[in-house]
Amino acid sequence: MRRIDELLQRLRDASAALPAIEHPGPFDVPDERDPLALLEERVCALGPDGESSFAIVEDNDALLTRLRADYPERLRAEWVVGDEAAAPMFYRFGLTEAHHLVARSGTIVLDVARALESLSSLVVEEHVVVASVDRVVMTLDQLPPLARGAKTRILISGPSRTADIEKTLVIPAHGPCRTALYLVRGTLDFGALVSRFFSSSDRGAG
Amino acid sequence: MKGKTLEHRARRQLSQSGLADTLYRATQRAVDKRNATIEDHAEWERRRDHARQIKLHTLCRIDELLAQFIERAQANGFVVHAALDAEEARRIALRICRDHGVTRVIKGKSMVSEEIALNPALEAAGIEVTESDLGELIVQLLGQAPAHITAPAIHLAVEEILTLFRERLAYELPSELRFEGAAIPPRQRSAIARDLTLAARRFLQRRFLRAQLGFSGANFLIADSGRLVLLENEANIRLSTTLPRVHVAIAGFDKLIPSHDDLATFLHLLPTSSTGQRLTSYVSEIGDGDGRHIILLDNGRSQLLADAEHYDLLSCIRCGACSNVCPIFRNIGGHGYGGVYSGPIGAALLPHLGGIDAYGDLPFASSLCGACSSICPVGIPIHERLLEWRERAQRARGTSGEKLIARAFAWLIERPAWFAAAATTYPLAQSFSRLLPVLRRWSSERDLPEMPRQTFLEWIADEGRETQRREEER
Repeated sequence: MRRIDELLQRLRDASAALPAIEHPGPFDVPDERDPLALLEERVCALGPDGESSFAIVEDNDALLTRLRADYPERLRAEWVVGDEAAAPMFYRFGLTEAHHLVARSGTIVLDVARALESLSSLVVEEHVVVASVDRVVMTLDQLPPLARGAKTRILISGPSRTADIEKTLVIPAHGPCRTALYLVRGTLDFGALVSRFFSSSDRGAG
Repeated sequence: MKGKTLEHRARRQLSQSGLADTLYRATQRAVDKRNATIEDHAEWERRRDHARQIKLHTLCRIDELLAQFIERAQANGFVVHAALDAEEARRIALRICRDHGVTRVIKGKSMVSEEIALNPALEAAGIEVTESDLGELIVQLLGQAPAHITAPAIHLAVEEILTLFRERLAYELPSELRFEGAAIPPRQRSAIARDLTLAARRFLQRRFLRAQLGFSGANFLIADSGRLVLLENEANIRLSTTLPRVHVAIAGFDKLIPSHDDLATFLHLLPTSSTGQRLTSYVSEIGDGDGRHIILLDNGRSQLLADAEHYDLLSCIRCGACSNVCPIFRNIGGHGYGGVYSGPIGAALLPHLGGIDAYGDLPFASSLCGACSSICPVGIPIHERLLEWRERAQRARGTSGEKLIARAFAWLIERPAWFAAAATTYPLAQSFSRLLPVLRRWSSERDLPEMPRQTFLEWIADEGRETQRREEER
C-alpha cells in the first residue's frame, strides 16, 4: 500500500503543471447500413476461405432442428459448453451464447462472470455461437455495459491466427479455426437449447 | 547491443544482407493493409483527435484516475502492486511466484516485461519461462530481443526459423516439403511457414496446460471499471490468462483510460494501425480478479510526465505504425535502436526512460520526414519531439564545431570580396574532403557537388545583361 501511495504522490506532483484538458465526451457515429447484412458479410469474411457460416432462423425450435442437422455427430464428438470442459485439453466443438454482436467488426461478444467460462470459445476447433437478432449493434461504440453479474467481456472477431513467420497467415494459431453463427428471431432460451441438443431421446424438434 | 553507439549498430544492421528487403516487404504490407482498412472508416481522422484528447485528459488527471482504477480493481478482487522501477517490479513478480510455489510460467507478449528484463530474473530463480506469442517464442529461442513492437520476428527469414526449430524443437520437415539447397524455393515458403507454426502450436499446447502462472502485459487499464484489456490474434494470451491458476499482469500507468465508454475508440485505432485489421481476433476485458495480480510500473514515466513539452509521448498505445512507415526503421530494423522500444517512438521515448547517456543519439535516427506523426493513431507529433531532443542535445553541448562553421560562414557571406576569394578554394575542398580524416566519415558515402562554372553573382549579372539586351531589341 505504501508503494501505491508513493506512486500516486509522484503522479500528483508530476502532473500538477500540465495543461487541463477536458474529456471530449462520447463519440458519435452515424448508422449507415443495415447491421444484419453487414454482420453476415463480416462474419463470413472472417474465416479462412470463407469457411465460417452465418444463419438466421425463426425461433428456438427451428434453431434446434438446424443445429441437429448441421452437427449430426453431436453425441459422439467432444463438446465444451461454457466452462464445462471434462479435462484440460483441446476439444472438437464449443457451444456458446453470445450476448451481443457487432456488425462493423464482425464481433461476437461474450459477457461472463469468470474468463474460464469462455473456454467453449477457446480450447476448441470449431466454435458454434448462438444469439438473438435483437443483440446486434452497428459499432463497438454502441455496445451496452456488461450483463448483470458479468465481470469479464471477451470480444471475438475472427479465427485464431498468426502471421509471425514472414507475414504468412496461418489459421489457427491456438484457438478455433471455424466459427458458425446462428441468430434467432425473438428471445433465445440457451439453457433449454443445450439440454435438448444433447439429449439422445428427444429426436424431434417440437 | 548496449554500450555501442547508434552509428555502430546502424552499420552492423545495414551490413546484413537482405535485412532491409525483408523489413521493407513486411512493413509496407502492414501499411498497405492499414490504408485499405481506413478507406471505409469515414470517421478515422475524427477518431484520432478524439483519442488524443482522451489520452491528454487522462494524463493531466492521472493521479485521480489511477487511484480510481486501483480502488475498483481491488473491489474486483485483483491484488494491485506498484513498482517504482524495474528492479522493484522484478522483485514483486518473483515474490508472487515464490508465494504460489511456481516453477513454470507461460507468458503473453509484453513489451513492459522486456523493459524490466523479467525473463532473465525468473530464469535465474530456476523458473521455466515460455513465451507463447509465436514471434516472441522465436526470438526467445534465438536469445534475441524483439525487433519490432508488435512483430518481434519481423527481421527473420523462414530459413532461419527452420534451422532454429530443427535445433531447439527437434522439428523435422515433412517429406513433401523437403527442398534442395540452402534457400527455400518461393512456392514452398508459405507451406513451410505454416508447418513451422503448427509445430510451435504443438510445443506450446503442452506448455499452456502445465504452466502454474500466466504472465501478461495490458493494452489498457480502465479506471471506472477496474478492468484490464488485452488484444491479440493467436489466443495465446487468453490461454495464458485463463488456464493457469495465477495471472500476473504488468503495465505502465500510461495504459490508463478513464472509462469503459472510451474503449471502443482505442479498439478501432490500435489493430488497424498495427496490422490493418478492423479488430484483433480477440479482445479480453478482464474484471474477474480472483487469483490475478496487477503490477503498475513507473520506471521513469513520472519524470517524463513532468516534462510539459514531451509528456504526450506517454499517450502512445504501442501500435508500431510509426516504425512501419519510418525510412530509418525500414533500413536498420528494431535492433538498430539498441533498446526495448524501437522506431520513431522508441527514439523519442528511450532517452526519457533509459537515460540520455545511453540513448541520447537515438533522436538523430530520423529523417524528420514526419511520416510517423501523420500515421500515429493518437496524434503524437513524434518528429517534432525528435527535433526538440536534438535542440536539447545542442543546447547541452554549448558551442560546437558546427556552430563555429556557421559563424565563419555568416562572417564570410557579408564580405563579397572575401567570399569570392574563398569560393575559388572550393575545388581544393573537394579533394581535401577525401583526405582529411575528420571529413572522411562524411565524404566516404557522399560527393561534394561539382563546382558550377559561374558563381551565383556572375550568373545573375549575365542574366540581367541578357534581359536588357532582349528588351532593347524589342
